[in-house]
Amino acid sequence: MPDVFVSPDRQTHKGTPSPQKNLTEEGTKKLFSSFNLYPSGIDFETREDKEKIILMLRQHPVVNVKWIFTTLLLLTGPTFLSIFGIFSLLPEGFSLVITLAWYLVTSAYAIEGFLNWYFNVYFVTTEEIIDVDFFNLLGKRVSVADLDKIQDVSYSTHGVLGTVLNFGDVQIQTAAEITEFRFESVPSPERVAKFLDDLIDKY
Amino acid sequence: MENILTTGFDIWILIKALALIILGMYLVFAFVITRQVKLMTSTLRLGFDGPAKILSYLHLVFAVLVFLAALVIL
Repeated sequence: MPDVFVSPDRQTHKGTPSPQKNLTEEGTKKLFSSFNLYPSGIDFETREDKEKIILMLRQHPVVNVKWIFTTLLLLTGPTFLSIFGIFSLLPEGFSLVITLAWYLVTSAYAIEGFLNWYFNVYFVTTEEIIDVDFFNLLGKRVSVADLDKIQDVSYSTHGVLGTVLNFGDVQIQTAAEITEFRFESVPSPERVAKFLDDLIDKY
Repeated sequence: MENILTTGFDIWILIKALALIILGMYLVFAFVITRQVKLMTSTLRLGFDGPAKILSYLHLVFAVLVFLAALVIL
C-alpha cells in the first residue's frame, strides 16, 4: 500500500543536503544573482579568516522594474520637449544644454537605482547573519547577529507578484542587540528560512 | 536716470548664471556618487567593483562636460 503521508523528519534525512555537507562544495560566482549559494570571490570588510560565506542574498530583480521603467520614460523626455516645440522658444544652444542635462540626471537616477539594488545585500555565514544597508548616498549600516542568537525564523510572500515569482520577506528574531532582522523581497524565502533553520541546528 | 531693468539687461544672462550654478552643484553631487561607490566597494567585494567605479567616474566626466558645454554654448 503506498504511503499516504511521510513525516517531514524522514523526508529531511532522505534527500535534503545539510549545510555542513556542502561546505566543501566549490562556490559559484554569479555577478547579478539574488540567491547565491556558497558564492566564490565575494567578501565583506568584517569577515574573519575562518568565517565562510554560505549564502548571499539581495532583493529579487523584479524590484528594479520601477526604476528601469522610469529611466526609459525619462529618456524620451527631450523628444517630447522638441515635439511640443518647447526648444523653439529658447535661444540657440539652450536646447542642447537642456538635453544633455536631462540625460545626465537620468543617468544618475539609473545608476543610483542599480547601486541601491546591487550593494544592499544579506549574508549568511558559518558564524553570523549580516544585513548591509547603504542609504542617503554616504550612509552605511551593517547589522550582525551570531547564528546562536537566532531564536525564530519565519517568512512571508505578498501579492500576486510575490506568489508567482516566489519572492518575499524572511523575518529573523534574535537575542542580539538588534532583535529583528528582515531580509526583504528575497527570492525563495521558504528555502532561505529552511536553510537558516538547518544552520541553527548545526551551529 | 536710466532704468537698468529696461535697458541693456539680458534675462538670458541671468538664466545662464543660474544654470551654471545648478550644474556646479550637480558636479558636487556627481563627486559624491564616486565617494558613495568607493564606500560600497570597500565594504563589499562582489566582483563588480571595477565596473561600478568606472560607471561613477564616467558619470562625473559627463557632468563636467555638461558644465563646460553650458559655460561655452549658453
